[in-house]
Amino acid sequence: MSAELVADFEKRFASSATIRAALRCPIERAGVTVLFGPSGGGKTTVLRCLAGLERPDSGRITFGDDMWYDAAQGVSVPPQQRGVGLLFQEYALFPHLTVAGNVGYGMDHRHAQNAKEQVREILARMRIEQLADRYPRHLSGGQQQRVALARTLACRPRLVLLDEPLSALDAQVREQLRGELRKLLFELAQPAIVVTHDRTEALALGDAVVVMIDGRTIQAGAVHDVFSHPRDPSVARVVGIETVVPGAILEVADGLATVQVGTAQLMAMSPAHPVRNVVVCIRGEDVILEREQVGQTSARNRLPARIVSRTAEGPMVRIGLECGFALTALVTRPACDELNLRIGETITVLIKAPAVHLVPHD
Amino acid sequence: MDTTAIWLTVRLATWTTVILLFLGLPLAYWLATTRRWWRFAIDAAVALPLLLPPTVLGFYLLVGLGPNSAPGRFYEALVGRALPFSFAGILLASVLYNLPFAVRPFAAAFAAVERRLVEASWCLGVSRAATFFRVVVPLAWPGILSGMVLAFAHTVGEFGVVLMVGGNIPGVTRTISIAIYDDVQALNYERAAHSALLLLVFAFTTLCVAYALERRSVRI
Repeated sequence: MSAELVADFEKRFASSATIRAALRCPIERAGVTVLFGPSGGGKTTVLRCLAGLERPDSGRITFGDDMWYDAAQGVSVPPQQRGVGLLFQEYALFPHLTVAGNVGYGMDHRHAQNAKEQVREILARMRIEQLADRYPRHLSGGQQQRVALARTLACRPRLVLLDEPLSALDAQVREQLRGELRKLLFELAQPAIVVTHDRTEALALGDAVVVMIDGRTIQAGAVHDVFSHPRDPSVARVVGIETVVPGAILEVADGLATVQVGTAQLMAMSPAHPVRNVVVCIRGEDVILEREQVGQTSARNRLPARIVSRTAEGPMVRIGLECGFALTALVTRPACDELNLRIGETITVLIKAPAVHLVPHD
Repeated sequence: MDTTAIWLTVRLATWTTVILLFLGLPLAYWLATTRRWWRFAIDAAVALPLLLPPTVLGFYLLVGLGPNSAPGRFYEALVGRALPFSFAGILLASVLYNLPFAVRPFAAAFAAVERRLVEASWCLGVSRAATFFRVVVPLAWPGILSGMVLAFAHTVGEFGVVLMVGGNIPGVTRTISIAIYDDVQALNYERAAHSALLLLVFAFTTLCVAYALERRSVRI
């Protein structure tokens, strides 16, 4: 078994709900664990407890063989000794230091020459070497984000914790940095935990996801698994997408992409920055089921499918389908009765190209 | 002008400021960051000299440190002379009396430093003490400087406490404000006028510097 961060603790607040977190994430190789959930659910508190800035009230946190926190033994390792990099939501750059000063802040100044070299290297990697002598107040939001990230990564922490790393940016910059962030973490072989309330961000950045709602970590697992198979209605509501599967773009023409998903091929709108690997997201209500072949249709995707499950959910019925990949459809109960849908039967699936959302995931 | 009194006053103010710097910075940082509930009591104790008449503080110091008290006897046995009516005596009195003028600006400046910056520093592996000197002090320096300026200036203008504890011994405890009082009593109005003008100009200049620093700290 490879080394892991294992956390299981409780943090009580006088004024608000108790935070109860149980999570684990690999720490030996690159990999992004996303802590996902609506705002105000306690995600930031969990990060602060992991960083050592906040002390839980009970439970324990271990990092590989190191004990970071143990309520029973009264152990709480201070942040300085955890070797964790924390990226604050508002970046928290030191206003009295230049970009180079910020990035080199945590480095060992007994080897000044060495530190200077390292600062130059990380600035170059983040493509911000031209900003080295500027002060934070003269930087744009996107630039500040890069500097803060460079500062966090510069000391080669054993684990980085990123708190809503992209939320303070405008949409265009956010999309661009999202791809870069994941690439960077993998180039540096840097394990990371990312907090986000943004579904797309979770899908684009994460390998594993931990869903946190109302102060509780409710479900954890591979991103596709958790999004496609929410454990209960609260998770389903938060993830909001019934089908999440990995795919690969085969070709892009006229703004439309052909994607290989499982053994099937789908047509979808091409993402703004085309990449090869994507996460394919399809909402259950966008999937149309039909019995008889209609002559012509505007839906670009028409697939034969086998019905594998049928679950009633109030006025809706959730239909599990196998059409080269696992697909979920949500249909009304009358429609389900009318079509007489039965497990094991074959049916035709229609999905419009714009209903197939592609999230880049290289 | 009474140069002996001026020189003595400058010495007293400088020592008071230096001691308050070493005493006040940790105290102010504790006040600015602690979450202990009894913090308010320490806050009040520090602010006490703002409301207390100087004679009250002087009276307690005189009684508490005089030759008839245990601390007074201890000091006398250690140094060989009594604390009241000595330079050390008025220095102690002036440090206590000026505590709020140094500590309150220090604490306000520390409280204005974003907590997150301190935490960011800790997470980058930098110790608490090093964080204080590398992040907190550089960001709070205008407030620290203005506290020092105020403490210095207030010591220069101190009258009641110094008179109570130190009396009026030329070259030992006779500061410039006491010299002015003396000159007026002796109807030496010309010398009193010179000293008074000097203090007026000094006080105004000091306040200009302090307020300019405050504006600067707001901008950062």
